[in-house]
Amino acid sequence: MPESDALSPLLLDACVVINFAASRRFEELAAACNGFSIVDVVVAEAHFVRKGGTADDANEREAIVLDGLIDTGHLRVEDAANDEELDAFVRFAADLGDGESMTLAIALHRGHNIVTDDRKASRIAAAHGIKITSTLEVLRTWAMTADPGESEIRRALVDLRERGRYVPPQNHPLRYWWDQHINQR
Amino acid sequence: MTAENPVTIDPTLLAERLARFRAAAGFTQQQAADAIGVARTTLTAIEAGQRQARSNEIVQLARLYGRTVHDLVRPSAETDVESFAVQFRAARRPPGTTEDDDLRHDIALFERLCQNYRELEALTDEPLLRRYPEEYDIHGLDIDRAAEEVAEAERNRLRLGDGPIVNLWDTLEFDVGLRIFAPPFKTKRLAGLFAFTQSLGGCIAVNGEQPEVRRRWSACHEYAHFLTERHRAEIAIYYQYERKPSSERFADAFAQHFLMPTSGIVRHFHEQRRAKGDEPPTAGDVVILSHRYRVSFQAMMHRLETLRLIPPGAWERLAAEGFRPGEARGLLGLSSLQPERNTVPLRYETLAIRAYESGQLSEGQFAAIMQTDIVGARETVLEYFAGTTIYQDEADSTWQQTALDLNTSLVAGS
Repeated sequence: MPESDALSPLLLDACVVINFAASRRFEELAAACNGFSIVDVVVAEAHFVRKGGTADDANEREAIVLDGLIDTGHLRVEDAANDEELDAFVRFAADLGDGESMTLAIALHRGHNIVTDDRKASRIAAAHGIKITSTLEVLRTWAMTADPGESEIRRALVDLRERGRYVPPQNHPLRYWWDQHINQR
Repeated sequence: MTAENPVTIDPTLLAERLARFRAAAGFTQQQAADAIGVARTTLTAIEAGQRQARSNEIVQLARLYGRTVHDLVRPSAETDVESFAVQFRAARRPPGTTEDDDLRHDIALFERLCQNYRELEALTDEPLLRRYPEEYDIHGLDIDRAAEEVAEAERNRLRLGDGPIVNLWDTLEFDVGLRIFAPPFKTKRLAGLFAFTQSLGGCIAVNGEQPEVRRRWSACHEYAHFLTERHRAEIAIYYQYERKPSSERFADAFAQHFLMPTSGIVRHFHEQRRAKGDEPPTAGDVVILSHRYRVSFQAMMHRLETLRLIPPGAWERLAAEGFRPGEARGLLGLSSLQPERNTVPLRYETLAIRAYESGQLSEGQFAAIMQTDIVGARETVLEYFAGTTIYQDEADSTWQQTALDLNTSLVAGS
């Protein structure tokens, strides 16, 4: 995450909520980034991760519960507050799903950075001058600031992979960081 | 963009969708207008395209109709989308079939899948080729004879010979150009749906909760409606008719002749019998024959009875004696027929993955199109596109990732 953006609120899209929940380190990640924001439509869209682990039910769905994070203030829920934001939401919705559209609309009008790994959402956000951060950038920020130890970092990445089915593309700028930590034994 | 200057979205398209989604959700204009706090005349004007909807009205109406805002405002390749809900209101259906919430849901799902498919084709510039025959005119003809003639004509046209149709789904999709889905319907007794519009072409949905032999039968039943009355939507529900109308009897007779053509069945039956030294046919022989033709045991028994290859009433007698075809298949070492079709066709999935990988669909849109959650969508991409699989190592239960590049080019140097 660029240093100059460190204090800008980070608005998560649904895919990133799933990734953070899958990593089992949502609270720690939020603490490392001064909390996250999320729009209410995304709360309704981020439903499940996989259970993971070694039991027979490893591939079954596990519901994502955000109530605790919201109650403790690690996650702030935001919604369109005026006609301009609502108009932007509807305009973005011509191209994107509702959660992504509301995320972009709020980010555009409130100057938030968004956290997304989505190619299409990133392209549209960039075209509107919205700053973008990725799942791996947030994880790396946590790894650098909280210094949780190598095995803990690896465990978070493995959880992300097996519970969120997330694998960064080969051309991801932090793919080397992912490979370096997930292949640690 | 402000409330005073409504967003610029194709007002005609938006108006048409607002009216269509309201009808599909079962609201009157007055009810919908009351729910969002506007006068009925305002909603009438919006639906007529005479007044642009404001953003807050679009958001409220989407919620009321159980749709996303994206559903309402997305651009469309369609120019003549006639609501399936409207088509199905006038559809041929069994008497007493009420349009309850489950049926409305199933019809809306069918329509969404069809439109998704068409839009994926527009995104990837890969239209589904149509090889439609002229509609067959069967008016005034004997139903069974007409069904046999149409089935034979279609088998000839599609060069299927008179043997079992192994790739029924591919045949109907690629050789005819129909859109065929197998979603799990909420309406348990709903066997299939058929609809047709100029832009979508012929569309069929069979209940994915049915066994494969039932799905195949339902697909052929709906195909018969496409061949003879393609501009009339159809809802097929099990056991709802006291006396089936002629169109339904034709559709079932067509399915029977298309899946079990006389010449092929007679030949296979006699070959089977000769191989056993001309011993009288047994229930086991019919189990094998039904397995070969991928139809139910009951359907094959009826077919053999009508061809007078086995005594009339044989099926009723076996059923009364408690004969269990599934167990018989097991004893004969025949596996039960595995579904060849998921909710969506493989081509649909391939187009969706292409559109997602090229950044034309977001992950959320891709998941919605694939009728799954986001993690499920990622699994689809990992396993299909890159040939990457995440699996649990049996030796030490750890999770591993493997890559088998299914997209390796077969052309040197490319």
